[in-house]
Amino acid sequence: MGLYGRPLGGAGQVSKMHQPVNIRKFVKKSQKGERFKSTEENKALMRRLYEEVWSQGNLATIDELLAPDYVLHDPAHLVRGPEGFKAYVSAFRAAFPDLHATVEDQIAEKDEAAMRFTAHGTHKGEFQGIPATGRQVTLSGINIQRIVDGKIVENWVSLDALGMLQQLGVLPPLG
Amino acid sequence: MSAEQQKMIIQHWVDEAWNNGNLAIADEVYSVDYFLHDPARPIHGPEALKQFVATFQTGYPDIHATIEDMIAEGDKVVWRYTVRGTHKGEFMGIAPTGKSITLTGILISRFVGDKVVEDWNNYDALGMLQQLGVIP
Repeated sequence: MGLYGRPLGGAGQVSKMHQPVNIRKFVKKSQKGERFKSTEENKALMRRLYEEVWSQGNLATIDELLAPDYVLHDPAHLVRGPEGFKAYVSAFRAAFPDLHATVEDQIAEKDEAAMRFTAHGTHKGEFQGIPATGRQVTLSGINIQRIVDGKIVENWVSLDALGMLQQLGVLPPLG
Repeated sequence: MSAEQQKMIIQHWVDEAWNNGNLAIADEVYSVDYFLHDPARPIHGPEALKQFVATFQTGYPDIHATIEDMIAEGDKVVWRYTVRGTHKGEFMGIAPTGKSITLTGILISRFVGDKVVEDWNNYDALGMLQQLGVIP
């Protein structure tokens, strides 16, 4: 059965895709020797990360949930390993001591789990060179994690960093 | 609609609209009541989405989007993307700088049948503005 040029919709409808659409690299196959936890377990693991680590500041959970070779791809940072991630979380929580993250949605497939989240906090400590402003910030983001054998090995996050700086009053609203 | 079919639709959207400038396919892919949750401003309907894409194509005439990864479950596809281009046209009120940008983001698309009805988008707008030299 081919993946290319399959007609969409019911009988009698014209095929909407006239050129082959190559999605082979997105059809997930297990790597030899890897065992996937269920998608529900992976979602629960992500919720623990957000609830225990981000919202409660429990850094010990990081050692439990992250693989030693963990990498976080944040557009502004490349964070490596559990210790690197502890420093990353600590910097945010020092700046926003009442930081709380809400899980808005979760989507998971095979070894990857995604989460849409909203984070709230009050800017009470220096953040990336910006002295405390006392302002409240609401930040949206989407996070993708690759999980192998119950440990997070790789993480990509996209955050509304621009919105955050605008809310802190560091940047004006832009066109 | 299977996960693979949903992923194909997203790849088709990126290939045709973003990379080939064929914005008309927005009417095939997106529902009339389509809503995009974007941190900068919400977008309602395929016409507004076409304008959104067009502003990037005007600002970056050589724009090229690559889907790095896709995750599908139920009615949703999450796609991580990279957009590259050279700032040769006016963009968001910024006169052309000639600089190259690499913009990363993650988008979640919700399907009803074979149409996308709702999107949530997060991307590194800050990084893009820094690359343009607008923000230090």
